[in-house]
Amino acid sequence: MMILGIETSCDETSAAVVEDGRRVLSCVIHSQIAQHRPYGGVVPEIASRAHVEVLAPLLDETLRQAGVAWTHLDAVAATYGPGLASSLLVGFSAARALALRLDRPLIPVNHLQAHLYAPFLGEEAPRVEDFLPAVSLLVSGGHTCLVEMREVHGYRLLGQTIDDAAGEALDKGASLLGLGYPGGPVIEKTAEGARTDFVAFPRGQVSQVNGSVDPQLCFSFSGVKTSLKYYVQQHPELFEDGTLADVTASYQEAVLDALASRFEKALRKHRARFATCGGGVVCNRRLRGKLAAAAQRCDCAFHLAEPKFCADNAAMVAGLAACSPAKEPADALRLDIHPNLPIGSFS
Amino acid sequence: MNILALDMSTPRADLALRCHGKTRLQKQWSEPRKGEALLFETLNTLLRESGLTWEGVDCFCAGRGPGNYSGLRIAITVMQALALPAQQPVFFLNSGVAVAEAVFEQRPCDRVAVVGDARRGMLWYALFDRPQAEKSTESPDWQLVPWADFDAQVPVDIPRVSSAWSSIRSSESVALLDVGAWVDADVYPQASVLAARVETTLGLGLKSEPATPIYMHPPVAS
Repeated sequence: MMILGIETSCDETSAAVVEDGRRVLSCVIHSQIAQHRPYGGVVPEIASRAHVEVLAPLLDETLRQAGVAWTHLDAVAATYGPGLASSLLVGFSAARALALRLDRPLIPVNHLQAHLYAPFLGEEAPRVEDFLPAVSLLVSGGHTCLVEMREVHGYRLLGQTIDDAAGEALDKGASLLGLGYPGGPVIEKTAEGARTDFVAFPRGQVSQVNGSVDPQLCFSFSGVKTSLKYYVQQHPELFEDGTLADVTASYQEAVLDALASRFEKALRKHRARFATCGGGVVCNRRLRGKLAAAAQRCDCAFHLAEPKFCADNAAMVAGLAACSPAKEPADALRLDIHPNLPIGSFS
Repeated sequence: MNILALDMSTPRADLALRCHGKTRLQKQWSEPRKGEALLFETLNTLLRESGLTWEGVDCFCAGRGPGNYSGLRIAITVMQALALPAQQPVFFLNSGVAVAEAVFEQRPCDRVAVVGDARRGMLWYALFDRPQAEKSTESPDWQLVPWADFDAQVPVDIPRVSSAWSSIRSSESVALLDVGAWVDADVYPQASVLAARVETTLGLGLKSEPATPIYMHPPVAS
């Protein structure tokens, strides 16, 4: 089954052709980082304008790179939520038009679930059906949560952030430290080889939450962010005395430790045999190491998404779509975007 | 030549199929929210009624505004996506052409101002000259102007027309305008006019306008 995937939920325009949910024939990503950098974060209106400009040529290039004719596609998939409404609208409208034009099913895809599917992309990756049930960590610029993935579309939310997402905390930290945007990569680079225990930043324990999630498996990054803000105010000399890298490394360590410790706790509590991680922050090599070590301590089979499939991309959309219920062309005409779509929801 | 044109720059969406120099089918609908719920059903219906296949469309056309940002993005993206599989041409035209044309058909004037509410205390407008036979007009120069300065910038002997006239007329700021010079109705851009203009423009060997909406504000407020 050959599926064209389209992803425009935030600031990456991406399209991919994936065969049988695993074999990535092409995955083209147009990043808008340079356009958002002056603002220190994603500006929704800039993102939407850029999607309109690049999507059509990018789709053409995706098919060309895959060496696939339009008529060889079996379905069209696109992210329909969660995400920025004005960005989702562009990719999902294109997908609906293509499904109509090609008379193929349209498969609406939940962006969060697509990230959780990313570890199963590639012919060397384990098959998703052989890796369930799994405890999965999703950690990106917009979302941070732990889920139990019982089947490809059966999720139970175990814990989540009660304030900022981890990627957001790294962006804000980088901004406070004057390192630029996006925060994750620049913090990782600055922290390389520096002391991680130079400042004892808090690890953001959560004692109480509303709903059915476990507070011990929840995250809070507002404390570490505030702590960094005060530290910078009290130590303005850090920008000149050579300690910037150590402060950065300490901050990064606090964020990564919070992620890894909750991950390990979830593996133990749920006696997980399998564990996976997805999302843009998983590109961080130190985090990858910490998560792998945690899984090893829990005697748990562990598989991470390849770095190229961690950030927003359409391969994960097309991959998950192969395991998803399709909408026949007639039903697809009435589908709409869902900017606040929760994990585990379908249209 | 078969041309499929779509304009979604206003709350009233307009889709038209022009075949061999005549408007064959035209459908208009009002979208209560984001503008795409009825689009795909209407596209499907129009094509079925026409008996054409997608391959039978020689050129797709989308109105690029100015107007509703979401509508413009959908119209442009959808027309591009429909054209992609067979690499059919897509032509983009400002929607004001169609609004001005409606006035030229009704009045003997040689020039008209197409106006819209740009919010934030501003109006947008462009001046259109009556198109001459065998000559396609240039893409107009869209301007933003405070309501209070509009009459000073646009001579009152030039008729003003807007698809948002009801909203402009009901605004408190309407007192700043010489309302006598306005066409007293909401005049919407018709896709059939865009399709006809595309046919003329292609016949003259001229190029499409850019494949982007006409945005009257920068993406980030300064």
